[in-house]
Amino acid sequence: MTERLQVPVAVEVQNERSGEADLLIGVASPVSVEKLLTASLAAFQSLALAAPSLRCVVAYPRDPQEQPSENGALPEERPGLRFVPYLPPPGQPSVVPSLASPASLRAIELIATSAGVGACVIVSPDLAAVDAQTIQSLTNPIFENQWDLCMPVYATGALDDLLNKSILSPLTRALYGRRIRSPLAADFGVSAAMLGTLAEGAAGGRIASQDALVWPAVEAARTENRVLQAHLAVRHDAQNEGLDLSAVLAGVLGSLFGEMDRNASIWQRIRGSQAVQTSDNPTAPVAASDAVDVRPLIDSFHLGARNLQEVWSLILPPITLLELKHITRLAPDQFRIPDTLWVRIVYDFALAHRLRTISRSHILGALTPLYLGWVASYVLELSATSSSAVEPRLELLAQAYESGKPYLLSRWRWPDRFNP
Amino acid sequence: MWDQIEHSLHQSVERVFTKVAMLLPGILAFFLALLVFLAVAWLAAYLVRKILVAMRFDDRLHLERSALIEWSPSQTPTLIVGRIVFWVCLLAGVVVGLSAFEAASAESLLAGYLLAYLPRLVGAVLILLVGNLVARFLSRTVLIGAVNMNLQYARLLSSGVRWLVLVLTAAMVLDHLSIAGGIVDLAFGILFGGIVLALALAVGLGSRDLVSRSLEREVTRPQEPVPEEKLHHF
Repeated sequence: MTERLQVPVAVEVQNERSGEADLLIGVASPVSVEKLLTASLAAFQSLALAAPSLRCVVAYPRDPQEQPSENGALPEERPGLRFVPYLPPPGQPSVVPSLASPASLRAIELIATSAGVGACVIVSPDLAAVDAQTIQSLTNPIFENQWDLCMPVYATGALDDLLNKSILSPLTRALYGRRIRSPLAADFGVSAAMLGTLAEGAAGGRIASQDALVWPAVEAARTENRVLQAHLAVRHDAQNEGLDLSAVLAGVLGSLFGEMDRNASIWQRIRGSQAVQTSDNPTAPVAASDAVDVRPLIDSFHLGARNLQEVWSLILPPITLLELKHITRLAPDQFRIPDTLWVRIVYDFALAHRLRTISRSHILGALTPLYLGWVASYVLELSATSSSAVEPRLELLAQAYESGKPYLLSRWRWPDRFNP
Repeated sequence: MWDQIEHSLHQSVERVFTKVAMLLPGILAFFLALLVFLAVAWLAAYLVRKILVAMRFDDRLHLERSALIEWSPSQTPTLIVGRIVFWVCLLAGVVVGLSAFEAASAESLLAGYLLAYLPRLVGAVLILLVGNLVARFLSRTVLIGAVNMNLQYARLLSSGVRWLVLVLTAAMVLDHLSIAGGIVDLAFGILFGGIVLALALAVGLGSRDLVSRSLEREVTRPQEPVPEEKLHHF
């Protein structure tokens, strides 16, 4: 692994400056300090082999009950490596604990500014990304080629990361014109300047509500910063298990739709999408797991269709309701939600969220059965194909989002007039 | 005799005209007060809206996920507050107008009765509106929550919550209007108590075996590894 390591030229240049450190590793959610120490030391030792003069700061949220040590230093520190705990922001934790909250990001940005670092890598609290190779992949492009943001491309299986595959990634692509695979990643590399922009948005109240999430890729598109992607051999399997699906769906999509509303003047001008440069070699995709029983998913969809017609009819136009009704009559093995229909559903929910047709919590809650229906349809489609068919299938979905954008624009601009 | 009838009719018409003439200043005073308060209400609502917009009231409330937004999603909080100010001023105008009508007409009985009853009426209407709003919001919340928990009787639960809140609202409205207060209290107590007792009996008697079997199963069940989830949503 260490053979790959190169001394970033920019790091050597940085050392001439008055900054205390070159690189900051920031953990934005509660984390086990012992694990963090072990992982950081191991990663730092590998990094220091290639770049002996590297100075690194690790920022993490400390336990509010715990008293900080007198000099703030931890006994495990090594020359060139410093641990800086910060007081986590008060209030409810983020709806997805592994994702950075705006307030945590603000705290990390303050530490980064005081340390004068050139690049930061924000990592998930499961610390899967705290290894030398991953840190290098996320920060080298920033040090060497002045990229502003480096987003990860994870090696996922066909049935992993489904919320991202079904909505987050293709919707972000269609809106902002950049083909970013994980717009809401838990790990990302960011330049000090871009981190300042992200934190400024957090401090300025633009994304400061308690349930807001940080969307680095959206912020980069908004501020026209340069974005790169890097393939990572990192998996975050267990950290989000046990979370309530409808709560997470509501939290994540509420935040994304909120961003959509705020950035309407930007995305309405964008047509089509551009590929984003991706560094490193793709990691091998995760092998497909055994067959999945989609019957519970279809049952959830049918239950929603039976009971939520009243709510759906306030959000979706009649033609969509009619198509959904037809789908409920399909046999389980024939169950499919066409991409065009799914895209229109997502766009209509985004519009209803903007117009506050009914309470936003109700709007987002009513999407869960439809999402489960899409998952069932996707799983059934993939069960008849090989694993190599996943990427083309997702590309088709992304194209459907792009070709459906005029529909979104029409409904967004004339919500009362344009109601097919 | 014809003359007497004519005289009586004449006197009656005269009395009607006298009454109308006596009422006219009161009606005029009522409408004048209403017009003045309408202007004041409009001005107050306009000023409140301007001040709230300057304070970025909507943005602040959005950040804190205000309950006001959840309950009335199609209106902005500024508009809601503006409307509340407008209607409060207008209602005050109606009350003042009625007082003026009473003072001018010297007929205190009807106006006095109406005036005393008016706050109750307004309160009852408000309770009815809020009760309806709460019933609709809660029933929808329960419906969506139950569907997302895969409960087959989601609609039943939702309807139950809606009717429970509506019955409670109706009882509160009648109590507030002092209409058959004793009967309403009694009926409501019996109804609510009956529902709770019926549920307790249903669970305690009807599902006793089910509950005990379920508990036994939990106690005696060997620790099985949790099956790995094949689908990962996030």
